[in-house]
Formats: sequence, structure tokens, C-alpha cells
Amino acid sequence: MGTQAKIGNRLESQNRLGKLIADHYQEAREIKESGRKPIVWTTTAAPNEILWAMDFCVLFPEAYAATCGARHAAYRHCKITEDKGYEHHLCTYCRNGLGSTLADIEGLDPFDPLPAPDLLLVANNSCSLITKWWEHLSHYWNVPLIHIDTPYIIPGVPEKDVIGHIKHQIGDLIRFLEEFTGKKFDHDRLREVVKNGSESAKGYTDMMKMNKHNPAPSTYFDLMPHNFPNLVLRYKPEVADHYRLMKQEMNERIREGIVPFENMKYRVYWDGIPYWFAMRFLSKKLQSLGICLVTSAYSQLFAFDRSDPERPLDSVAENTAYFYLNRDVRYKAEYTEQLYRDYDLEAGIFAYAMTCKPFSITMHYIADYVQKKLGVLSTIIEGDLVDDTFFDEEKTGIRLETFAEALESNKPSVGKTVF
Amino acid sequence: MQLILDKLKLRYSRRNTEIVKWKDNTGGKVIGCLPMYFPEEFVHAAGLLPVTLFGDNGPIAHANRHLMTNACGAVRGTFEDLLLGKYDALDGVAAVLICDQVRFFFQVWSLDHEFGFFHQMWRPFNIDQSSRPFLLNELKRLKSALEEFTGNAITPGKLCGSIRLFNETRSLMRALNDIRKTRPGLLKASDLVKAIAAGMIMPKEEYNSILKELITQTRDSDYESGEKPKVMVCGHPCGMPEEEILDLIEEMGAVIVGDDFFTGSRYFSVDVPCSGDPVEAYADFLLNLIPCTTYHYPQNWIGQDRSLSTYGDYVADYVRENGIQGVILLREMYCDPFDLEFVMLKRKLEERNIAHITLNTGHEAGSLETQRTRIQGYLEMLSC
Repeated sequence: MGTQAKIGNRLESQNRLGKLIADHYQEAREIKESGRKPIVWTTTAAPNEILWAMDFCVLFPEAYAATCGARHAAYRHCKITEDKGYEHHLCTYCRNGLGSTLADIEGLDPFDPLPAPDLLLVANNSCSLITKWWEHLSHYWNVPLIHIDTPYIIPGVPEKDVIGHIKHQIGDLIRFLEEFTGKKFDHDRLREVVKNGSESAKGYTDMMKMNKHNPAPSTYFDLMPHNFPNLVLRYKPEVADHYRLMKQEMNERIREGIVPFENMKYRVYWDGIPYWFAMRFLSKKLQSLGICLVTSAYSQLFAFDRSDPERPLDSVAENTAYFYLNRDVRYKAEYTEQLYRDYDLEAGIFAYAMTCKPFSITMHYIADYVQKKLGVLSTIIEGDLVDDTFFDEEKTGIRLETFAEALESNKPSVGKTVF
Repeated sequence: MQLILDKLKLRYSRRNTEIVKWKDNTGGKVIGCLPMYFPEEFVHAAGLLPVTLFGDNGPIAHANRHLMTNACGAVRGTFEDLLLGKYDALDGVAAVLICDQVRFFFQVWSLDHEFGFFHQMWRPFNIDQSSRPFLLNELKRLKSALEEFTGNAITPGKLCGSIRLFNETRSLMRALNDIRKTRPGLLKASDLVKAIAAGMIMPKEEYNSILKELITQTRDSDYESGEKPKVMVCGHPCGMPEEEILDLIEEMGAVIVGDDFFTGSRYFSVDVPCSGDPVEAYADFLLNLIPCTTYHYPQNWIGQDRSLSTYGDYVADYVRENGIQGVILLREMYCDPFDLEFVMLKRKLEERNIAHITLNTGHEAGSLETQRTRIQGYLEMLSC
């Protein structure tokens, strides 16, 4: 794909994203100080529209973990949990969250801590470890915890039964929240929240698809942080505007032939949760090798594309049920294969996270599957979500160089994993 | 007595070849069930032999090409056995998706290997009545799948018959377990876990008669229990605990009188109710098992009087009710649910003033000599 195109500066949308994030946390701090709303900590794909419809201030410890990772603050939080008896190999999103909580409670100065919760909500559609994480939060903060059991979407289980089971629990959640807040649940407000979410989700999905263009107007790592608005703020109408403006900006790049970096040679897939502490290193390294990351199934985690204001409760339950991590390995393998086809990808980097089993445990299988189906080249690198003690920069660099050499020499090693 | 125990241990150690032998003798079909909680009674009622799959404790070679070393020993060990062809005689495999590793990985078994029967089951993680309708549907789905596979109807009568048979097994296992409480030291813990495990791979009809004979012989034994510190051993949730560790604990002077192993109390503590519709009864059974580190107990976390660990309460109560002096926690490497619960369990034991020690187990866990020194120090403390 060698190109002499113009090189783009940082997307303007990055500045707007920065402001959306800063405003969100600032507002949460003000809410905590004023006490004007209850604060709830929740998980990525819990039925969060219910919380927004009840006017909770909704915070996401997983998103906070990513921030701590990127700001190199997670290691300290993780270390605190190890001192308290938590194993080193446990999920580092979890250890970051518990470490920050323990530091906050014990006055140990955590990194920009989330304002303390009044309530906790968790869904096990990403993993069952997260339920235990939330139990520990419930213990440390001494606040109630509601758990939404989300059966895995597996062959043979009628999906209507899964949706029904979740919807039934959402009904229980609403009754609990009415008692907890003393307020009647407002179904009209839920419809409005779901409508905003549906527009935001559409904007997010459309924006992500812009990278189908060859050459890509942006690298996947540039787009990835923009999952934040659709995850955390999709109940607000202005979030759809963010994605509309972003899509516009990317369209302009395509029109003007602007690419994200010089000497882009390969369109490559990224699998797994990013190593947040190593984004700068990985970006520089990949660019130096001419590797442009184009897309990832990771983005699908934040799609929430079932939202439908005509069926608010059902669509909220569906978003919870059909969360990407809650899909079986065959679905994930086929979904990944389709991404390769839709985005015209020629290779893949599979980023094994040593403390995240849901994402990593089937990574070998999915990498093998797309190789067999498409004859593409893959490499597996090893690291972690936010704890850089699992990451070896030099080793990863060498592995990526080897991968680039294999891409360069092209055909002989096609269909093989490069280790 | 030791002869019967040795016979059961042999059956366990030859478990994969025993399957071939049983099939040759009977012409029957065998379904391998991954630990834990799989409704074996349904498999039996369909005219099949359910056997629990235990991975080998040996080195992992083939599975490491598909799984990183941070997968737990049970997942890697069973997958290794699959790749080595040790499960080739099975007609099918099945599992309750009890943890993230089983949930996300088990399907890979069926994608690369042909099984006549492959079944994944969801036991809801909220252990309360809100889960009952979904759980009931899952049991009905299992029943239909087995009926379709075998062509045999699982009538209420057949299912009740299987439940009664398996309840008898559990009752005999409990009787055996009671012997180590009343006559500590008569049965070695390492013998007991394998005697229990043998019952999970043999036809229950045959096993129950062997167990009855074993219990009779233990009653006839003139063994005199000495004064030794009584301990409970917990952890290592899904797999077979290492014989060497259990023997070491007892050789060092303690006597193990309780456990919560899958190849122990966790398997036999609770019976399936025998009245009413057997599928409904089974749903009640699965909602009333002893607390497990993997599951969530909603009532504990909604109210004001939260316990920091429902599982910890169970362990602490067991210790107090059975006059046990201390707890030894076996911590299998890379078992996330246990590792998280472990932090709260330790606090619970501290809160209840129960002496405890932790030993790491599983593949690549370290030398026995290190464990020996730690156990020695712990038992000296218990004796003070």
C-alpha cells in the first residue's frame, strides 16, 4: 500500500474527546460534593440505561482502569492489592480498581480516584471475575450491590430465554432502585435515554467504519479512545454530534488524501484489549515498521447497537445479552474473519493480556481460524491491560520486527503464526 | 479395608482405560463431564454412563500450544488429555460453565474434535430464586438433548430412579467421611479423595456396593485414634488435590477431618429432593448446594448486614461445628474465583480466630520441601 500521501496532524476530535472526558469527571466530583445525585459504579455492559433514566451519576471503574494504565498510575494501585493478599495474576483492571479504592479509604492518595459510590451494579457478561471484584467493592465501600446474571450465548440456548432472564432481572433492578431512591421509575425518560443511546451508537459505528477506506484516514489506536463517549455518555444527545463531527473530519482526510503517518505499508488487525501503558511505544514501533492498525473486534464491545427507543426495555436487555464478550468462540472467530474481509486486512496482531482470560484464552484459536480461512499472517504478543510488569518492551519490539519482516517477504510464511 | 481403598485408587488411576473396558463389556455409551456440578443423574437416566474428567497432573506439552500457562491446571490438564487422545473413547462431553476459563474455552473442544454429544450448560451465577426459571429451562434443555442423542425418553420415573441411586452414593460417601470425623486417622485423606473420585468415574451401581463393604470393614477395624491436631483442607476447587500434599500434612502429624473438595464434601454434602417433579427438584438442589467461590449470593450483598464471604462463613462454621483446630488452604495456581475469594476467606478466618496456612498447589507450584517446612511451622503453632 506504499503511499506518498499528505500526513495528517492529530485529529481535532481528540481535543473534543479530551474535553468530554474531563467534563464528565469534573461533573462527577461536583455531584459528590453537592450530594445532589446518588453515585453508582457499574460495568461496561450492565443495563446502564436504567441508571441514567433514574438520574444516577454513573461511573465506570473499567474505563478508570484504562486511564490509570495510560497514565502509568495503575502499577501503584495494583501493588497495593498485592500487599493485601491479592494474587499478581488476577485481572489488573480489578486490582487497579480495588487498589485505588483501598488507597482512597486508607488515605494513600490514589490517582484521580472516582468519587465514592452509593450503589454498585455489575453484569457478568464480560466475565464472572468481575462479579467478585464488585463484591469486594461492596465490602470496602459498604454499599449495596446488584448483580445481573447474563447467560452466555451458546448454541442450543434459546436467545429469547436469555433476554427474558435478563429482562426479569432488570424489572427487579427497577423495583430496587425505586425503593433505594424513593422515586418512581420514569419510562418516558428511559425511552429518551435509549433514543440518545441509539443515535450515539449509530454515530460510533459509522465513525469506526471510516477506516474501511484504503488508505485508512486514521490508525485504530487513534480511534480507540473514542469508545468512551458511547460507553459513558451515550445518554446525552450531544454525543451523537461528537461522532458526526468526527466522521466529517475523517471524510475530509479521505477527500484530501491525508493519512496518519508516512510510509504506511500494511493494513493490520488488532485483537484484544490494548496495553494501555504501552500505547506510545506500540504506536511508534508499528509506525516505524509501516504497520497501520485499522480495526479490532475490541471496538464491538462498545457498540451498544441494539438500542431501540421503540423497545426500550427489550433493547437494553439485548445490549446486555449480546455483549461481544458474551458471544461464543465460533461467533468471535467468524466475526473476526468478517472484519478482515470488510476492512481488507492482510495480517493480525493478537495481543495476549496475561491477566484477562476472557479475551485471551481463545486468542490462539481465533488467530488460527482466520489464518486457515484467509491465509493471512498473524503474530501473538504478550503483555497486559494496565500492569507493565507483564510486558517486555524489547521482546515485543523484536517480535513485531520479525512480523514486519515476514510481511515484507510476504508469501512464504503466509498462513503461519510468527512467534 | 486398605485392599478396597487400593482397588478404588487403581480404578481412578486407570480411569481412561476403564472407560474402554466398560464400553467393551456393556456396549454402552459414556459422557465425560467437566467439573463441577454437572447433572450426572440426567445422563444416567438417559441410559448413559457419566464420568467426571480429571486432567493428569503430569507435564503439559500439547495444550501449551493452544493455551498460555496462566490457564489453570484443570483446564490445561483436561485439554492436554483430549489432545493426547485419552478421551477418544468418550461418546460425548458436557460441562456447566462454572468459571471464565471453562466458559470461554470449553467450546474449543468441540470445534476441533468431533463429539457425538456436546453440551454446555449455564447454572445462573445468582444463587437465589430469581434464577430458578432459567435454571429449570436449562435442565429441560439438557433432558431434551440427551433424549435426542440416545433416543431414550427420560421419564420422571427413570430420573427419580437415577436420583435415588446417586443420593445413595452421596449418603455412602458421607458415611465414609463421617468415619474420619469419629475415628480421625483411620482413613488417609489422600485415599479418601481418590475413593470419592472413583465414584465419579465408575457405574454407581457397582461403586455403591464396594463402598458399603468398605464402610463395614472400617467399622471392624481396631484402629485407635491418637491425639493429633484436626485440620480442614479447603481450596483446589475443581481438580484432584495432590496426593503428596495431603500425605505430607498427615505425615507431619495432623489429621485431616474435613474438606470442601470437589472430590470431597462439595460432591456429596447435599442430596437431591426425592419428592415431586424430579426436574424441579434438581433445580432446587442446584440452588441449595454448599457455597462456592465462583457464585454470587445476592441476598448477602443487597442488605445492610453483609458478610464479607458467604463461602468463608461456611468454612468457619464447619470448623467450629466439627471441633477442628485449623484450616489449610490449598491455592491452585491461576484459579481466579478462588484467588479473589481467598482474600475474604482469610479475613473471615481471622475474624473468627481460626488458625490457617496457605499452600500453593497445581502445575509448577514449587517443591514439596518448601511446603514441608511451612506445614511443620503451622502444626507446631497449632499444638501450642
